[in-house]
Amino acid sequence: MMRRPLIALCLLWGTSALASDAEADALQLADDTPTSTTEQRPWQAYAEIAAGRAWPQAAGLAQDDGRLSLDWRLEPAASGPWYVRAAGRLDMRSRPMLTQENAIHTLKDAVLGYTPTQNLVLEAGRIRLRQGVALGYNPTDFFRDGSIRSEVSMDPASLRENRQGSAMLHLQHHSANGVWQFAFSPRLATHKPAPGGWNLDWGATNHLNRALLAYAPRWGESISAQGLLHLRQGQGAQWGMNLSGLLGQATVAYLEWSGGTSPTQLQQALGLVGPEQWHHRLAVGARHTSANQLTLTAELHYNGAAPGRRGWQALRAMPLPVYGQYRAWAANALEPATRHGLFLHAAWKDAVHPGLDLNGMCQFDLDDASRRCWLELRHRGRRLDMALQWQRNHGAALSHFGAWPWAARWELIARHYF
Amino acid sequence: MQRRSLLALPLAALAPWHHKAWAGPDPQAVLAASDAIRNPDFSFRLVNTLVEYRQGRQTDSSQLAVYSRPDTAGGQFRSLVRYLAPARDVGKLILYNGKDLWFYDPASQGSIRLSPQQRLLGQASNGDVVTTNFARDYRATSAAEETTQDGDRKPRLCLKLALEAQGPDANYPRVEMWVDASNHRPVKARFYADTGNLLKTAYYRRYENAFGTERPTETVIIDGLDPSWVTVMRYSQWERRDVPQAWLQRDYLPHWRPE
Repeated sequence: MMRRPLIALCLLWGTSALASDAEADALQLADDTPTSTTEQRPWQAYAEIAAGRAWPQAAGLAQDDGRLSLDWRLEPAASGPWYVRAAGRLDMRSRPMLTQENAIHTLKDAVLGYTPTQNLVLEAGRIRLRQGVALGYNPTDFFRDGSIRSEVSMDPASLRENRQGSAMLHLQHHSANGVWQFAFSPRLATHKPAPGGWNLDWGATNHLNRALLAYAPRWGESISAQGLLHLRQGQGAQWGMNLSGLLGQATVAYLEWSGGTSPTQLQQALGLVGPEQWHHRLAVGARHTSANQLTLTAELHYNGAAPGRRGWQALRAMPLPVYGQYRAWAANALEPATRHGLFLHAAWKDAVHPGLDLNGMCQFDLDDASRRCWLELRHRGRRLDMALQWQRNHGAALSHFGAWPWAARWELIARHYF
Repeated sequence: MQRRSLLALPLAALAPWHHKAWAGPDPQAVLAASDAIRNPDFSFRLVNTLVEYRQGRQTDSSQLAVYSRPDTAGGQFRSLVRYLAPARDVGKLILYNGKDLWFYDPASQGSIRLSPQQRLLGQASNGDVVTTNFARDYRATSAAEETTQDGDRKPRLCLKLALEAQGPDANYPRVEMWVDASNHRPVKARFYADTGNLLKTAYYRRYENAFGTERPTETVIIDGLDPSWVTVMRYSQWERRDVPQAWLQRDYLPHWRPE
């Protein structure tokens, strides 16, 4: 009878001693940790080299390609009420798209800012004014159309980073009750397809006068909200709303909506005149982070201005130039080509090994059952990232993702941070 | 019955003396005093350097500038965190407005809402990285004297506080905290999950003068399951400064500039 408590006591003592030893080792590590300082500088930059191989949808030989990119950001510390910031990117490709040059530079931002008081911010210049809480589709990101000059990945994070801003004047006022924003983006040039690689391409984002008014009330910690009104020359007003809230300690739920009268996407793409109708656009989703830091996101997308199942079938049966013109318009506007979509995203930091991350995503077209998936294994070094990416497009001919020129693609990327 | 009454009288007379002699300090007051040692009661900035180790080998590190402002209404801190290192993360911002957490990336000029469970680095939770007052989110139910090993691996007479989560803002259901019995300096804390499993242990050490008070300038966090997983957080460059309310709003993040 006495042996059991004795064994338990010994085990307890043993476990405690082990824990104590491990804690002593941990404290010794802390003792040996050197003091480090980081020099702050006004610029950040990285260079990226990528090699890829793509297999075409139809039978044919795989094609190899290469890319060299330089991404830079200038952000000097503010002194007084004035500040400047700028960002850009240069992509050089061995196999550019048919209409593109080998080297394409994107001036993302070039901003002069002024803060006369702590509550007021004025900015002028080329600005990437981003709105929206969703990950895969942002119906309230009203300044996104025409902003991608050089697409390097289907990752939505990449599409958000590598785009040019619109020339605008932007005012923002903060009060105890909320935040007001107003932006005016003037027409500066006509839209020209495929301008030169070093062209500032004002026509892509500033071919129409437009204005944005937004208000985000302070409703406390649990729910965050924003209302928007977007006016564009020659089109009806577009309203928008962003909502996000917490479901417990690990889940964020969100809803992003925009609506207003407009022509259908097909009418806009083909330049057809017709009756305008109210269209809704919606992204609703949730993001959950597990205890082991796996973050999963699921979103449903709805684009009321895009063709539904029947309309999409009819469009696929139209002459190829009409279909191609519509797809090119949708790609340029960063709008889904069809009405219903499902988006899944996973990000797992230190998934396989410390410093080795696993990211993946799948987009499903719910109108034509096509899909595309993307996987990335990324190793984070101190200054060097290595990534291996794989992408697969599935679907019938002329479906949303089946019409992609290639069926599968590998890419190996090395990125060095300066 | 009579004998019982006779005994009860002198015992009742002794009761107030007995209670006075054995009652320990108010646990909640001790917890608040310990918070006041870790955190100033005004707005400030500091630099937090985090180094992560696995199996004795450094696996990650980052450096953050933390701007904290005490919230007059709730007694908790609101913080804005800016990455100073590594190079891939420089300029990224995290806004901690209680449970309203936002991550801003200057590369995309966009903000993403975070859940409290999303961590920055290693086992360092959001509450570890930014300024947090335990007395606001936890109720200390006892304060018993106990000698424990401190961060310098020396025995120290402490008050062991048992903390129970109070309200939805607490990140852990149960915490044990050891504070120095003589001056209420935090020495060590153990954080537990709902299941009762130990999640992590934190040692508060390297006491140095900051804003006129000796404060811990290092926290060593040891994983509960894998003690070889260690995160060292070191605080430096303490600076008393204004942190405007406007900074602590999501829409301000794209306009925030280092000074």
